[in-house]
Amino acid sequence: MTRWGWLTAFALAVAPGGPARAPGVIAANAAPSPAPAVAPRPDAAPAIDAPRTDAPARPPRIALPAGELVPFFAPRATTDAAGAPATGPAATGTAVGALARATTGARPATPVPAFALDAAPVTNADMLRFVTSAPSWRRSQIARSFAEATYLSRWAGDLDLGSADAAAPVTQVSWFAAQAYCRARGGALPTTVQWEYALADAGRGQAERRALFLKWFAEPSDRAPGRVAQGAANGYGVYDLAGLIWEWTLDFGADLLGSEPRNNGTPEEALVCGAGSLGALDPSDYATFMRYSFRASLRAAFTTGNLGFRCAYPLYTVQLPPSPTRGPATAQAPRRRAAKERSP
Amino acid sequence: MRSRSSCRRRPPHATWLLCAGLLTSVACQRDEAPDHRAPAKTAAAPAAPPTAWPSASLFHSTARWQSQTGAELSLASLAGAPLVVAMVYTSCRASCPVMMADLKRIEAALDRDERAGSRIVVVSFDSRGDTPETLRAFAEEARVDQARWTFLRGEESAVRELAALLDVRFAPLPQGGFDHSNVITLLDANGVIAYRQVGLNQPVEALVERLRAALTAPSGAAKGSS
Repeated sequence: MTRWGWLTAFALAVAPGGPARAPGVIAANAAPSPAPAVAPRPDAAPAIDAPRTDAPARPPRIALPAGELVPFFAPRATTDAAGAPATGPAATGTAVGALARATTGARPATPVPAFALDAAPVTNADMLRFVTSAPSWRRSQIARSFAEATYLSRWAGDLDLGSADAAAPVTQVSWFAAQAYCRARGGALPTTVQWEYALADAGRGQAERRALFLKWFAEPSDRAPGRVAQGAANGYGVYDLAGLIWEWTLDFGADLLGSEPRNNGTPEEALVCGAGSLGALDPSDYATFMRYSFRASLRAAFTTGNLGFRCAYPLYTVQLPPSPTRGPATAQAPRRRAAKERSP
Repeated sequence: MRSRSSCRRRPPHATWLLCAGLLTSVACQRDEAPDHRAPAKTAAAPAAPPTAWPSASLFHSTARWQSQTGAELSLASLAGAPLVVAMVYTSCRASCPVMMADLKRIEAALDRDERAGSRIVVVSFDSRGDTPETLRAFAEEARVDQARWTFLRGEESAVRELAALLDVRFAPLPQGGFDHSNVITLLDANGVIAYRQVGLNQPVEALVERLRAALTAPSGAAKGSS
């Protein structure tokens, strides 16, 4: 199936405001199919269909194939499904256990179902369109529980970018605002596994990517980030996962729950210097440590000048039985696109 | 030069007043947004709930929940009384029973009036596995006064949002169940976080003291919006 076929498939499949569904693996020969009509959820912001006028054309969403990701931190096998303690030396939550897990060799990879991801981070122009249609997320109206006082402070006003570049990634957004934007577009923030899977790029270009991160860490961060999609896309076609901004993930706080449990009261973890690095996949990978540490330090209402986001979307297909009376499924595609262009 | 000499000739307090006035006017011009601490006075979008809550209140959340009785409600429906909020899942057999015991210790530390004036809210991480029926069975097994204890389940996005508001970290485990941090949060009658008790088996005096303070504090917002 060609790339345009994939794009048509998930452009049809992902309806704005539709419920999140469990992503599934795309069948290799699935024809593009219309998405079933769904009512918008009562607590979702209105869907965005306004055509872009002033901002440059942005890259579309990219469908990433199913695969797997070896987690950077070994998952803590200390509990079973009911939370009861598991047994064995590698099962303890102590530093000894972490070392046992790191040295036993086999580390199960996490399966990652196919999903779609924004090819580039969400820009200032995108965020402006969102807050235009969803007033409760504007700077002057947002609840303090949903964003701290620096929310969108680089903009000139609620609906005025001022000197902020429309094509630059939006920063100074909280997790709540980012998640509201993504849900309004029928998706959600990517999980950390999804985001790291996109970054891992199936093993391509690891050394270059690490160097890019380290170079980015060395740059002063007082300037607003540059425009999106200026560099090369990775092998999946996704831009700017490295070297432009930090990005929110759906479960930013849970990254280190498994291997370096905080606030659980076990004293042993605190006794070993650098215990947090025990059980890491590659202790020399400073860039990945920084990413995980940064995400673990966040609170959902935080905003920073270098923290933005992009959205992930479920992928699913509806297999229609063959019918001689129904025309080809692709005939539905132009009608759906026309419906999108019609709305103001 | 001229302005410098005129500043020198002016009496000092007038200079400070002038500079302060200039600074204030510049700051006011730059800051177009109204005071974030005050409730929004502009007309809200039709679907938005009344914005009478303080800006830091969790009751701005529009997420919908089902209780153990099957009732549909939002967090703001529980407004008007201090809330003691914890997150568990009913199939959890290790840390969650300890959490329930901690909540009961908090309840036992209150006298009858304080108990009647507050509410304990237990929210499930498990959107798929926990239904109003499992919550009701869980409540009955725990032998709690369901007039003052509310058990809630909701969609994954609602659970993510509430956990983010309470700063509770959780992750679904591949073998089922959840890895999660343990926090008991006290919300005052307006939904603002008044205290966080972090960890299991912690002393409850501090939270109970804040709860008593929240019971006597005046509640300025409207009650019971949903």
